[in-house]
Amino acid sequence: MLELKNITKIYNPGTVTEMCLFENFSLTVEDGEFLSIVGSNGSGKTSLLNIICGSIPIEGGDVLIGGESIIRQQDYRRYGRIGRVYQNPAMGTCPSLTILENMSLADNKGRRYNLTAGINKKRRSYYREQLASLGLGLEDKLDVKLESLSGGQRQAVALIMATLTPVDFLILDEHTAALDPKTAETIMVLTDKVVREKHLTAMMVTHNLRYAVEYGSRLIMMNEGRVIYEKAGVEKASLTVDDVLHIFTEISIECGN
Amino acid sequence: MNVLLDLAISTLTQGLIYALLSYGVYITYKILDFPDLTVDGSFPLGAAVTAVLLTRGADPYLTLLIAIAIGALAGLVTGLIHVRLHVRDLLAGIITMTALFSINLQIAGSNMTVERAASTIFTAGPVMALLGALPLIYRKLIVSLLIALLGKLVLDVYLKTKNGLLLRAVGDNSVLVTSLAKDKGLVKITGLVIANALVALSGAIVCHEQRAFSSTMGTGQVVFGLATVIIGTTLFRSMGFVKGTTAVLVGSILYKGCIQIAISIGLPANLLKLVTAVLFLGILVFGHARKGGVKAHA
Repeated sequence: MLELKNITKIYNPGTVTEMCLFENFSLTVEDGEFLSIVGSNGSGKTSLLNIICGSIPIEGGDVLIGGESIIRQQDYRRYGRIGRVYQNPAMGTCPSLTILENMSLADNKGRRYNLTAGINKKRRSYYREQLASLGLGLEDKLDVKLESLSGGQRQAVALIMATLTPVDFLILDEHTAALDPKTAETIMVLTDKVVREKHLTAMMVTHNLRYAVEYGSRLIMMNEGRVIYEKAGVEKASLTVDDVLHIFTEISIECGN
Repeated sequence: MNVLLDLAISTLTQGLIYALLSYGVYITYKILDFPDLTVDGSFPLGAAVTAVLLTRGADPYLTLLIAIAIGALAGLVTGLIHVRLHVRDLLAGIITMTALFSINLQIAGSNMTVERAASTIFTAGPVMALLGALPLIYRKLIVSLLIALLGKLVLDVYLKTKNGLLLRAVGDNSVLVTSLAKDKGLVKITGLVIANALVALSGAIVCHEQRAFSSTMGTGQVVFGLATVIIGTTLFRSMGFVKGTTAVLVGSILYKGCIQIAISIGLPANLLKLVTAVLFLGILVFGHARKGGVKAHA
């Protein structure tokens, strides 16, 4: 279980541009939940993910995983149990390394990066199998550098890499936003498959309301650092894009957009 | 004719010895994407330590290991200044380099020469036993070649280990290293340590070869290193199978060759750095044009 307790986040504290995003913000994500987060720009979606991962400091509150506070842990330590896929497909992979080298790096997460061989030939077939599940033909391109792959292919590899070793949480930060509609669809189907097969707890920030409605077990909408709409379980299952769009438009009008 | 041959051999030897420095710059500039100016200080540091040790009668081969260790320390200092004290990469290197100028003078006293009686890696027991029949100039060539190749081999193997892969990853995409639950700062420090160890080793061997330490011998070594890395990688860009270390080794020899030719046809020594700068600019522009793209600080 992931808990955010009474989070206060202020941008540019002590300056004229001071902006309080979160004030006493709390959110709980149960194990096995697939949470979709929607909201307009600046509503705090990505800040929320960054607070969980330790990428940005906070002014108050606590983040707990399984009841244990991780707020004092540095970002890289938190990633021991978190896998993350970014909006930019280039963030999740190393462009000048081959697919095989990238997979090997990801496969070693949680263990020591010592002076033994970086690539374990015995794992080659396992990587092929993992890549084959993508259905993109990448299993035959193990020795190709990531820089020569398309954005969608890179994002697919990034998704596999982020979940190659056992993680408790999968963080999806608008991970389909930079892809064309068809590729985005493919990546979304893959994401759902990976989350189900590996029994992951996932948090997905997206601007695509349809994905938020179709995928995931719970949906929240954020506005100005608060959760203003929430649906889970059966209610979530019967939700339509129009329902969400309606509320989305309403708040946008309130905000004067 | 013999004079020319001797000149060619000694130039080749220079290229091989300085290749170690180029490997170091290859690691920082090409792999880590870190313009490390520590080099101008850690290169003479290796030489200063070696000059003092050789004068005191230390085992010549031991001096190489000590130079490696002390060069690693210089890299560690730059790394800590950058990573832990959050000083920009260029400035972190400049700080260490500046400090090392004084430290080198403290170590060596002043400019030093190593007297003939002291044996070097080119004249000590094991080398004489194997290659004693050869003139000194050939012994220097063979020993330098062996060290340059050994250095390349070790580096090539290292870059394929788990640790080496992580090092390559951090310069490529440091966000990924964080996602792999590893401290990217620590990985950067590792790279700086290895790079400056190699640079100091290069300085140590130069000291063996010339039997001298001069406080200004570090000036312009970063530019030399960068130039060789860029020459090498530009030349071999279209040949994917050539390793970066090989490219840099060739680059180092070519560069030393060019400078030697310039001197031979009558370039005044006082203009050497000017020519180096112009040559370096030429290589950058040429390499840039061939790449056909823009890299922020290539």
